[in-house]
Amino acid sequence: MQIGVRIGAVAVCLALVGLTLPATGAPAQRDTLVIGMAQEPDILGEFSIMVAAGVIHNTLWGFIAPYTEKWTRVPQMVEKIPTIKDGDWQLLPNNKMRVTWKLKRGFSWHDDRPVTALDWRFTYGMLRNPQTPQVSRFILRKVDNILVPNPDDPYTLVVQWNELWPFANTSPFGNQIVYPRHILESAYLKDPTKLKAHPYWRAPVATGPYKFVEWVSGSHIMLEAYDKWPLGKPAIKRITFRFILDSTVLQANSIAGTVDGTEVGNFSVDQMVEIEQRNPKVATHYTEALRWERIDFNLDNEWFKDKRIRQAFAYGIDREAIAKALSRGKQPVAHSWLAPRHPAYNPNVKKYPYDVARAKALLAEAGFTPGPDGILRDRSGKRFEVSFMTTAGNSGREQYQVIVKEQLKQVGIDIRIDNRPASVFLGDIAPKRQYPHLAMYTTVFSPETTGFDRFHSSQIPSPQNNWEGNNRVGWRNAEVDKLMDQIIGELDEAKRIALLKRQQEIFAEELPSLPLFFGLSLTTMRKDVRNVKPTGLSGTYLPWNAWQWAFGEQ
Amino acid sequence: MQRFLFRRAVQTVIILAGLSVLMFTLLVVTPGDPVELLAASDPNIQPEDIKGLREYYGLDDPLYLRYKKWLTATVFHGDLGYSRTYGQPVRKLIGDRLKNTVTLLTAAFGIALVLGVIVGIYSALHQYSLSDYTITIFSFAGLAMPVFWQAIVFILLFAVWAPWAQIPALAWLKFPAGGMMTPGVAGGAATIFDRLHHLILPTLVLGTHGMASWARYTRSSMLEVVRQDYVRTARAKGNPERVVVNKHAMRNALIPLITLVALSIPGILNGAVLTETVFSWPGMGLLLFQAVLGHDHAVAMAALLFFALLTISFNILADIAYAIVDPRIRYD
Amino acid sequence: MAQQATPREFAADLARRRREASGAAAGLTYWQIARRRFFKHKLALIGAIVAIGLSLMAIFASVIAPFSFERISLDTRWVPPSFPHAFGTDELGRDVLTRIMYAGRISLTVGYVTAVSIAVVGSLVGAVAGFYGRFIDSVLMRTVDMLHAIPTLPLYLILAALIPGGGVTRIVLIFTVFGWTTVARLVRGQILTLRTQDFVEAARAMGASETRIILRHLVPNALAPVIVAATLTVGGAILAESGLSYLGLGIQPPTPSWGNMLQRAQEYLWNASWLAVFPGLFIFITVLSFNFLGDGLRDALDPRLKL
Repeated sequence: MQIGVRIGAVAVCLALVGLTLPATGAPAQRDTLVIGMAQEPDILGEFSIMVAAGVIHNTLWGFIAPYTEKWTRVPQMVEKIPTIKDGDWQLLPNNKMRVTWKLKRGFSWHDDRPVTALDWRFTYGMLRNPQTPQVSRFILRKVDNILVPNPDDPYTLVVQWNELWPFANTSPFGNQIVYPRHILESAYLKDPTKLKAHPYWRAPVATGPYKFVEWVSGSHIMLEAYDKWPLGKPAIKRITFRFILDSTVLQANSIAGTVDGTEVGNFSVDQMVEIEQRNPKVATHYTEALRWERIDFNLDNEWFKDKRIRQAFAYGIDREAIAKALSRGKQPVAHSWLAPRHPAYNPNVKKYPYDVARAKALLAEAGFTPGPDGILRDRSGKRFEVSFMTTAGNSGREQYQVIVKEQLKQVGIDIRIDNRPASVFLGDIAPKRQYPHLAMYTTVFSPETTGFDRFHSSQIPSPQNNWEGNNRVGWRNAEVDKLMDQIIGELDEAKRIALLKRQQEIFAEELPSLPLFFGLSLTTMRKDVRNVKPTGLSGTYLPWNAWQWAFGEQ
Repeated sequence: MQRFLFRRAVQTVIILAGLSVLMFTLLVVTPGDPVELLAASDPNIQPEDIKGLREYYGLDDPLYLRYKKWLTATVFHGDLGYSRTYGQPVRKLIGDRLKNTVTLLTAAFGIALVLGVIVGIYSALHQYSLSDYTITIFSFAGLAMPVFWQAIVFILLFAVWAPWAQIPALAWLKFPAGGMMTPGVAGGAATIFDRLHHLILPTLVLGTHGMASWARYTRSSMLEVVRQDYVRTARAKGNPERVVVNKHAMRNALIPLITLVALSIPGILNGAVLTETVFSWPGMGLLLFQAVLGHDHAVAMAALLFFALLTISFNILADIAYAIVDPRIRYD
Repeated sequence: MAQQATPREFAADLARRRREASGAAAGLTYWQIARRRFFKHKLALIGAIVAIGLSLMAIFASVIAPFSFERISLDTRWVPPSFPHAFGTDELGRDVLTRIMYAGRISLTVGYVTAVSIAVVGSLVGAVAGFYGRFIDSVLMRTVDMLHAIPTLPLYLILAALIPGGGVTRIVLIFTVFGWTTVARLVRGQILTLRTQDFVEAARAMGASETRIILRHLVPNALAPVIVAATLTVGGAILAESGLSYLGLGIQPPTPSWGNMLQRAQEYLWNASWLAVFPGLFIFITVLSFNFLGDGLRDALDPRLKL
């Protein structure tokens, strides 16, 4: 009796409190959009290494010629994209080139100063200087010089290349975004090594449709519309990126509606389906991307040198069934390394349907005989025990491994699963070829990938060449080397595509890696935000066209 | 007392020094070089770039040299170094995170202590009754559940499902699922309320854990005191039970708890790491975790030493408090 | 106080005085009294029974489990608890009850082995420190202070990132390296009290070596708090393993442990909540039982013990 009265009293108190409190800041306002991410950037700008920074760059900065959802580039901060036909991309003797860019007027920094070619020239110098902590100078090294030939016309930029590069007309020197000379130059000249410590990188003044407002470390970054954006004033006044590092909690927020959309959520397909089912106000996007998940063989290993053994693995794993089970059929099986949407995709390569008998036959041909415990023995009597490594803590991969282990047991192979933390596996083991037999992970390509660093025999990482190159399987194929040399200097797109298609045929026949599937880019956004166009491309994230977004039904 | 303090101070320095060497060595020896990870994420990196980066971060110096550099910078210049991941001076980074963790810890500790003590006293006074058993089971239960597990269940229950929040008056009983603040909320009262709203769930999770231990300790301490002669005397003198409990028993029972404050600090810090991770609460625990995994040695060292300093200081404070309160204890 | 008593006489004297202090009838030994007190503590009894039951389940898992724990069945994923899968199936169609049993093996092994190794290492260190005193004691106790000064989770993180692998040995090693400190302190305290007793002098006078004194006389008397601490460590280790597995640094799949089953179950909380309920429940019950058990042992062996 007494308990009942007490509980009743508590309930009444709670209700009274609820009535008197000010309304909480749940985003019911129509001028703010909240995007949740499972990663927080380290810093913003050029020296960042994290994907999360790239997402915010899409909103903070204008791009020279970004990709659209159609996977073609459109000029944004330039008048047009230079072409050989039009003459603004000139080929000079000795494999040199000269590209002229005409910047579009009307773009300004968020402090209202105009963006000019001088800023671009400054950016090149800053990044080219070996004393700044720039991560990669691969493309920068191909550029000799940046000129602003006419000081009275600071909107024309000339780039002098010292070697052939098929993508010289996608950006002046590999950079889509530009940095402000008037803010950074003095610090840079004073001491380039300390440039990363400049407060600019935590509160950038940029060129895009949204400008920086605040960054509360560990919580969020808030941006506000920049009304002088030449492509149209953004309809949504504020965009906030919230950092929720645990993807289950991010999913919960998505379902509860406390974030409006997500990007870089590290979700699995199952989690996305869950969001879709539980919050009908949210649209889930399964966008085709160029994410290649595969198993690398170690071609230096005595067993995996033999093509028949690699092919046996391909026949012995039912990739179709796994794809259907683990991704509800949404992530297609890969037979080569370029995804269907890539311009050089080759659907006519050799395929390896699930065929246990064929796998066993190939292994028998290669000299394996069944042992007493059902596991094969090789010619010298060694048990066919194979180590299978990948990143620890990734549930999709771990499930894949367990299924593969079961399936290969039928063929007579004993798989030993051996996973490491991501930083160790991706930072040490894979790049230094320290895996004995099998290594599984993802690589993200772009429409401009040539594959040179991955398939040319000069790109095999070794202690002698300081671990340069990404040909981690150790593939040496003379015809592929020749093709790669041609591809990297071939300026004609159609010819390049033909060469790539031929390379993929050889790849599928030789199978230096076993392609598994092409991953999707998974994002979400409220259904009542118009013009959301996910691209699926790395570097062009969900908010790439945020200034075109607006509240209101589609 | 002064000599005691001096000795403890010297011991603290020695401990911190030893700890720093141990931690630094472990951190540096861990595989997973940060520069290699960088290199792996960008296929276009050339060997000269890698060499440059390694020099830039001083990764190729021998161990003792790197330690010496860190030590001189920290001790003699008060320069805690630079966070490689966050691109900020460590001091500033820690300053922000510290406030958040201290808020969470204070709130959780407060709840744990207050509720735990109340529950423990009640339990002791009604020993072997049904309520005693129930409370005992609940306090043990609080200790037996994995922290992160409880956190996720709470989030699902109170932040996502929360069916009672359908009633408008109780809408505020649906709590935010993680984070410390709602961006864009401005104005004094609204901001305070928003922060409190975000604070409640993580505090409850951390607090229920601490509460269990406090309840147990209070209960056993109280039980012991209540059997003492002076309590019996107080009762025999005809004092009402309330006075006996409040004036005589409770005060003496609470004294030994002071030492337990120091002992429970590491436990709460542990729980804080997991809780902050699940709730994305931007505090020191989360920072430490990320720094260790991300090989941001400057941040990791600073955070570890901070935790150490905190624990040691509380130990010393507990010893001092105990000496003040119990006149039989004297340090020389 | 008898002067120059033989060790045996003195031990008997000690036992008699203990009996008197606990107000028991004459003729009962210390252990008999302890046992009687233990059985009065109902929760501890329940805890003991449950702990034994779970351990038996783990030992005989391969015999009593309904299915093979490795068997995958992509057709029967996420079956809710029903016949024949009493606890349902997981994301790969494996029977959850079977996995819980096998995981129990791993988790309980981690718990028991950690408890034993911490008890052994801690006792040895504590005994040496307490017995030899002065410099050795100082060094060892400073080390204890040093290790005690940091919350254990970050230390585990660092070690876990450092040592590769994902098996039981590695986890036990990590826990032991930093976990022996409490036991060492306890044992040292006991030894310090005991070593001033006369029977130690007598033993020395009789020519017993230092090792013999430590092992045969001091350590058995210091056992009581160690037993309690070890029991409580079982639960603590299981919880710590689940925490580490949640962060991805504990027992690595596909070896099942209750901790990593919980971690995996997070993703499916909405549509397959039973995947999270059962491992969590088992961790909970196990830790609870061992805590009750430890509490009961403490009350029985020496209620004045301030643990």
